[in-house]
Amino acid sequence: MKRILSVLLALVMLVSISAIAVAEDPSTLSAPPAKEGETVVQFWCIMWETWNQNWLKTQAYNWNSNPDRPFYVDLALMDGDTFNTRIAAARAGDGTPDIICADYASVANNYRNGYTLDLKELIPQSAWDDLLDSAKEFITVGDAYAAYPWMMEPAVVMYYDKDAFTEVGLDPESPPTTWEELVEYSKMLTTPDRFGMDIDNTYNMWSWTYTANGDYMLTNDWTQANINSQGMKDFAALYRDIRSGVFASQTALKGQNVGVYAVLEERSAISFSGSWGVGAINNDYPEKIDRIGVAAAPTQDGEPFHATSGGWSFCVDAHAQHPQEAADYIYYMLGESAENVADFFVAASFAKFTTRKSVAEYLVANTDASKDERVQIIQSDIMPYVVAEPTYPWEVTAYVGNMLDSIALDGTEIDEAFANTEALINQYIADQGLAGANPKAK
Amino acid sequence: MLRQTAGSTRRIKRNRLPTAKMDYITAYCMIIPPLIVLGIFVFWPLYESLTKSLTDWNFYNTTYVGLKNYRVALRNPTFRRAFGNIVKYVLISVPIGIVLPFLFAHCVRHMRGLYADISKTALYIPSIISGVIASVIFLFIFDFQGGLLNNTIRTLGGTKYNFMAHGTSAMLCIIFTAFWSGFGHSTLYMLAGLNNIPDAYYEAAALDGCGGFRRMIFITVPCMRNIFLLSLVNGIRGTLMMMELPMLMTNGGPNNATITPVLYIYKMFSDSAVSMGYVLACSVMMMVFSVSFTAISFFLIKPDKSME
Repeated sequence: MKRILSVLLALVMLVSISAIAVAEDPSTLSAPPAKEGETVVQFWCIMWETWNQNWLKTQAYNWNSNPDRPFYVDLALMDGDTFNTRIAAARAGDGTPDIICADYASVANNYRNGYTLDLKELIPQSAWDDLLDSAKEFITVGDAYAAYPWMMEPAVVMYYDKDAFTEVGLDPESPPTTWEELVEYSKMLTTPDRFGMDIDNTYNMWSWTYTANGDYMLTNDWTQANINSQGMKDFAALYRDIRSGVFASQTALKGQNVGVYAVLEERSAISFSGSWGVGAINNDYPEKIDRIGVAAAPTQDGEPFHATSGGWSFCVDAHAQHPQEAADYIYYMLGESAENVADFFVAASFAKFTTRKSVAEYLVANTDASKDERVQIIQSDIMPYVVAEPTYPWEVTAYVGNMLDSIALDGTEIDEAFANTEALINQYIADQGLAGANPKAK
Repeated sequence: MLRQTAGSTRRIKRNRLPTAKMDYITAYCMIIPPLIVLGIFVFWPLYESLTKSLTDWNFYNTTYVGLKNYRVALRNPTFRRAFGNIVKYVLISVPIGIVLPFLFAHCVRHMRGLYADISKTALYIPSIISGVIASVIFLFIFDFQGGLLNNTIRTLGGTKYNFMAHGTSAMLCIIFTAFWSGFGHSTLYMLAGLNNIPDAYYEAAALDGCGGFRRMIFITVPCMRNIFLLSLVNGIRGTLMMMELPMLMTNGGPNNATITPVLYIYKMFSDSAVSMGYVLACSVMMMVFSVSFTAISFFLIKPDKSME
C-alpha cells in the first residue's frame, strides 16, 4: 500500500512539473528561429504582469515573423532580482545583451558609469520630437539621450473605498485634499477590522518627502543634505501621528508600493500606490471597479502633490555587438507607429501613461481612454505635477526613511533626528565622493 | 629491501616505490580535481574580489583607491549596525538551535512505532520548506490585523501587538522563523549522535549509581562533542549568511533593527549608483568575520576522536 501511494505521489509530481514545462506560449510558439548567419539582437527585460509580457513577446513575434526582417530579436524575460544579477555577471564577463530595460532612476547612473550609449544619433529625430517634455527630461543626461522612454506611472495615487466613506457619513466623491482632512477622515473610517489609512515607506516616500520639502533630499549638486525644512519637519510630525497605530498600521499592510491591495482587501479605507493600481483593480478585482475611487494624495495646504514618475525605458548597452540594430528595434517597438504603442496602454487598462504626444492623441481619439474617469483624474490632477525619481544612491533615501521611523516608532525628538540624519547624509556624501557627481545636474 | 631465502640474503631490486610514497601520490592525485574546482570557483574569485575591492570598479572602469572602500564601509552606520545585529542573531539563535534539538532528540529517541515515524516526519518537514515560504507563513502568523497569533491573543482577552513595528520583537520573530526552519535538521543530527553512543556506557554508569542527569553530563555531552561542533558551525554559518528572512519579513527594518550584513550587501549590489568595489569590500569584510567566528568555534570546542 505504501509503495502504491509513493508511486502515485511521484507520478503526480512528475505530471505537474511536465505541465509547467510544456505550458503554451502562443506568442512565441510558431515564431521561426534565427536563420543561420543572421544577426541576432539580444534583448533582456524584466518580467512584469502577464499582459505586459505578452505585449513584449508579441512585438518580438511580429518582428521575427517578417521574412524580410534585417535581423532577429532574441527576447529574454526574467524577474527583477535575476535581471540585476545576470546583468552584473554579463558586464563582468563582457557578455552584455544589446538592449536592456532601465527605470528612470537608473538611466542617468547607467550612462554616467559608461554602461549605455547615447541614442540621439541612432534613433530618428522624429521619435525624439514626439516625446513629452517631462519624458524627455527623464532620459536626458547632459546632451545625451541615454534611453528611449516606454511609459510613465506616477508612484503615488490615493485609492479609497467609496462604500467605507458612505458608511461613516463622508462624501464618497470628496476625498481628503489636506493632511488635516486625511487624519480626520482616517480616524472616522477606522473600525476594529479596518484601518482608516495605510502608507508604506519605500518608493512612496520619494513623493511624500519631495512634496513636503519642495525639493529632493540632496542639493542639486549633491554637495550636502537638503532635508532641514519646516515642511519636512511637519511631514515627520504627520508620519509620527500616522504610525501611532490609532488610525493606520504601525507597519505597511502590504508590500512595497502595492498599497492598493490594502483597500481592495478591505484592510484599509485609504491607501497609496502607483498608478498601476488601476490595472490591479481592473484585472484582480473587477467587481470593485465602481467602488474604488482615485485622487491625488493630500498635501499640507491643499497645493498639488508631486508624485515621482516611475516608469521604464530601453537602452542600448555600451558593449552591444549590434548597437544600430538594437536602436532600430527600440524605434520599431516604441518610437514609430502610434497604434503599435497604443496597444500596450490599452492592455494596461490605461494604468500607465504614454511618453509620446501622438500616442496620447491616438488613445483619446480611438480608445476608451477618455471614458475612464479614474484615468482622467490621474491625467489631469497628478500627471502635470510629476517629478523625476532621484538618482542619488538608495542609502540616502534609506537614511531619511529610518529618520522618520525613529521619530515615529522610537520616539526620537524631531530636531534631534533631523540633525543626526543631516550629519549622516553629509558624511555619506563625503565618503562616497558624491559632490558634483549628479549626472543630471544643470 | 632485503629478502631472506634459505641460506642466503639477497638484495631484491624493486621497481616500485615504497607503499607509503604510493599512498601519498594516490592521495594527491585524488585531491587535484576538487582543488581545481575550488581554484576556479573559490580561490580565483576570492583573489579577484580582494584586488577589485581596492578599486572603484564599475565593470568597465577601474580606478585604484587603496583601502578607501574599507574605511568607508567601516564608517557606514548601516553596515556597522548590520554586524551588531548579526552578532545578536548568532548569540540568541545558535545556543537555542543546539539545546532544544538536543533535548527534543532525547524525547524522540525512545519513541517507537507509528508515533516515532510521525514525529520524525513532522519535525523534519519545516527543513524542506524554503526560507521564502517560511517567511510568508510567519508573516501571516505575526500579522497585526489578521494574524493567527494576534487573533489568539485577542481571543484570550489580550491586546494586539504589532510584532514587526518594534526592533526587538521583529528580530525575535525572525529568529523564531529561522529556528523553526532548522529545528528538524538539527534534531536529526542530535538523534544520530545519541544513537551512536554505546548503551554499555549508560549501563556501567547505572551500575555505579549514576543518576540520569549525571549520565547526561558525563557521558552524553562528551560523546556528542563532535555533533555539537557540527551544529555550532552550521548554525553560525547559516545565521551569518541570513538574508531572505529579514528581507521578506521586515526588509531590514524597522530603522535597520533587523538588517544583516548580507542583506545590506545585496541592497548595495542592486543600487546602480554604488561602486562594485565598495560592495566587494563589504563582502570581503563579511568573509573575514565569518571565518573568524568559525575559527573561534573550533578553538573553543576542540574536535576530538570519540571516547572509544
